[in-house]
Amino acid sequence: MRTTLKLVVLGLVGAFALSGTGTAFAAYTPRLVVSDLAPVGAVTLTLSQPADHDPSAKLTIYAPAEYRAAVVRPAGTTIGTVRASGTAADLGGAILPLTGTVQVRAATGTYSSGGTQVPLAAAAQPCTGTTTHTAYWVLILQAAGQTLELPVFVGAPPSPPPGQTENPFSAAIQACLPPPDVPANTPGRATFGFKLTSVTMRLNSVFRSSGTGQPRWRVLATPYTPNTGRPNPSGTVEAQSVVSFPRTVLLTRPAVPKAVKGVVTLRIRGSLNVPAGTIASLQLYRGVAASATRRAVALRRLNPTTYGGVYRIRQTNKRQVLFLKTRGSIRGGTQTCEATFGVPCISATRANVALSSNSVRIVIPKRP
Amino acid sequence: MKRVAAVIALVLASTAGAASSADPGIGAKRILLGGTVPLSGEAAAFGSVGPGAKAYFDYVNARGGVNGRRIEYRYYDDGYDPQRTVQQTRRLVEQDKVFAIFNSVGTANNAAIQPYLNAKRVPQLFVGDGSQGVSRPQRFPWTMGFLQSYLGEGGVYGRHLARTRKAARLGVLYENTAFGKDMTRGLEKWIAGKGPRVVARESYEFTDADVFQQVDRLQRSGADTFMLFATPKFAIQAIAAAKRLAWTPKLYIASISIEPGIMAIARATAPELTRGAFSVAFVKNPNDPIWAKDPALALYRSIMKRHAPGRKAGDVYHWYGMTVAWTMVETLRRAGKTPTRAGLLRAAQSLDLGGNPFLLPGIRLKTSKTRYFPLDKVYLYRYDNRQWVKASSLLDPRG
Repeated sequence: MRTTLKLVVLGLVGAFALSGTGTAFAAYTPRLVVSDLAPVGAVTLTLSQPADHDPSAKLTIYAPAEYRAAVVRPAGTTIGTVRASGTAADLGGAILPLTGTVQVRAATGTYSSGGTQVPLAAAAQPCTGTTTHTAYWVLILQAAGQTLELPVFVGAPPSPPPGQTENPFSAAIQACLPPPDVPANTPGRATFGFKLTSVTMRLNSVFRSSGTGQPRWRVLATPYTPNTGRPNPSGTVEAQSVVSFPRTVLLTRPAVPKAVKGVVTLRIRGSLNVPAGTIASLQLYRGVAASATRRAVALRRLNPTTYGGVYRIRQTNKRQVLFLKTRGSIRGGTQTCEATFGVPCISATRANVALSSNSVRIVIPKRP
Repeated sequence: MKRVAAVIALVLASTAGAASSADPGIGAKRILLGGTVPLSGEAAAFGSVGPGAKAYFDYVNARGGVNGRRIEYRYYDDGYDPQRTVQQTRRLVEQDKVFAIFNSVGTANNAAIQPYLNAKRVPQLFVGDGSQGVSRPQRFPWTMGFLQSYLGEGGVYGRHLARTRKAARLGVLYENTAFGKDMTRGLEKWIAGKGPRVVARESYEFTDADVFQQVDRLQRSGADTFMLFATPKFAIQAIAAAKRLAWTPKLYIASISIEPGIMAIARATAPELTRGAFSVAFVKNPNDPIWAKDPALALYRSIMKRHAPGRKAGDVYHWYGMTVAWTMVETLRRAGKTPTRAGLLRAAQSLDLGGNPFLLPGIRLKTSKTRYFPLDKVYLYRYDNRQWVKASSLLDPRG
């Protein structure tokens, strides 16, 4: 028994050792999380994958038709910010945090690759099969004084998914990444042998939703065959992210009753319009300005469309002018994956959503 | 006879005055400086010292220059390769005809051009190096570094260890150049017989692909303190290697590798290792909120915005470039209204400057004919995984 156990342990150790040293992992599970920061007019797209999975070769993000896309801007316009992270093989596997901006470039423009300027059209052809795109963006990423640029090709999706006659998308955002795991000095290898594991783009005033329904963003992701620099089309997977609408919270101005023993009891009431079963929390906030930043008391849902609670305020020697506001959140989590493109749909998410109501002004009279 | 002597003296004086026109790179309206920086290659992180210095010169030019002359600063990429440093420096001296070489980066790089520039009597000033070999006034009087002595920096760590961790077992990873050797020598000098001891010493060549094996051997030596005397790329590799080996020693890291962008990578990779790390510093960090209201930061930001738009203001190597450029401007001012190369050298040999807004408070720039490390003091700093925090009073870094 002891020998058997020892063999099993040795086997497990061996298996882990192999998995740790080899890079031919043949696992690929990208994940997409989309947040709509309405009413700010910004959308954040986060793509991530485990660091030890196969590197991504091509990513195509499809914006749902519920979003109106305004992707064309004058060249040089900054339309958003980007944060990325990944491992750098040339730095011993160190984690490289990158930050930067998303900039619009002209179709005739260039981007920097390995210190040389490359025409965007030349990069588009092998990536998307065409040089014709509605817009050309470049992610300008910086780390430790170094700048990495990644071209992104934006346009209408080429055709409806299999079995569908109408195109359920308003735009497609495509990017191809250089291979990180080919020998150093291989032409086209990623700078530093950088393998992307997470990227978050915040796009300002590019996508605007109708504010209704459950729009579903999709990404079609193709990995590289490890250590070859060759994309592995048969490894292509789909991941999705659902944006929750509606998300309206209103706060009714509470009546201020007479104080009892110097304490004013406010009955808080408000209305909610959010998808069923998604509320994670509701809190009343107070403050001397309309932003009402100080947490006051927890509130609860009374029925599907209303919420409320009780908040007691002690009177002081001075009249108090207060602003109240409700804040809350819609719980994120996983969703059912609905395959669209005839490839495995491996994950679907729903992002956490922060809720915020109107603010109301109340006056608490001074203590008699 | 006296009158004749006076006339001869006048002629000589006027000839001496006109000597400025005999020196290349200086005209009635312009001073041409040149240097090499690694804009590409393994040490490209240092490259921002060029644009940072140029931005400061442009700022000075916009205010009338130095004694009516604009400073033109040309910096060429050498990829941190000493052979290319030689080529580019020859180009600057022989084709561009610069007045002086300024702010060139790297120990081996400056050592490679030192004999050539001294033979030609071209000032090689305030270069990005702190090795004993480069700042040797007796043999190479035309060459002066700017960084604190590496020997002295190693000594600062040695003194700190001898005072605070007498039982420390040190594992040293050093670059096999004067930089790494001087740091190690300074460390060993100050811990000798005082408790801390070096239990393992590993070197790397600048051409090495990785330092994992060296870090592995250091860990297996039983060292509990990691002395990391490496340039940024290798420093990050070493930290990543320690992470893979699950080794969490106390960390001391060479000051040339502590730029916030570099530390952001190190911290993201192994926060348990970088927390509490020690290093030395002599410039203010523009990312540190402690300097938010410092006039130097406002000046720096306005210069970056106007003269280096699009470049990252948070990159401390830009700030360092301005620190050195400020020093060069003050030295040029002290070289007289019609500077010569010899006059510039004399001015550089007699500095006693306070008021460099980019340096940490209390640090002066002092030189003499025998004292070629301008920084007279440094501070020990500790990393709290957000910022470098001051951990000492002023310390002497001259070894």
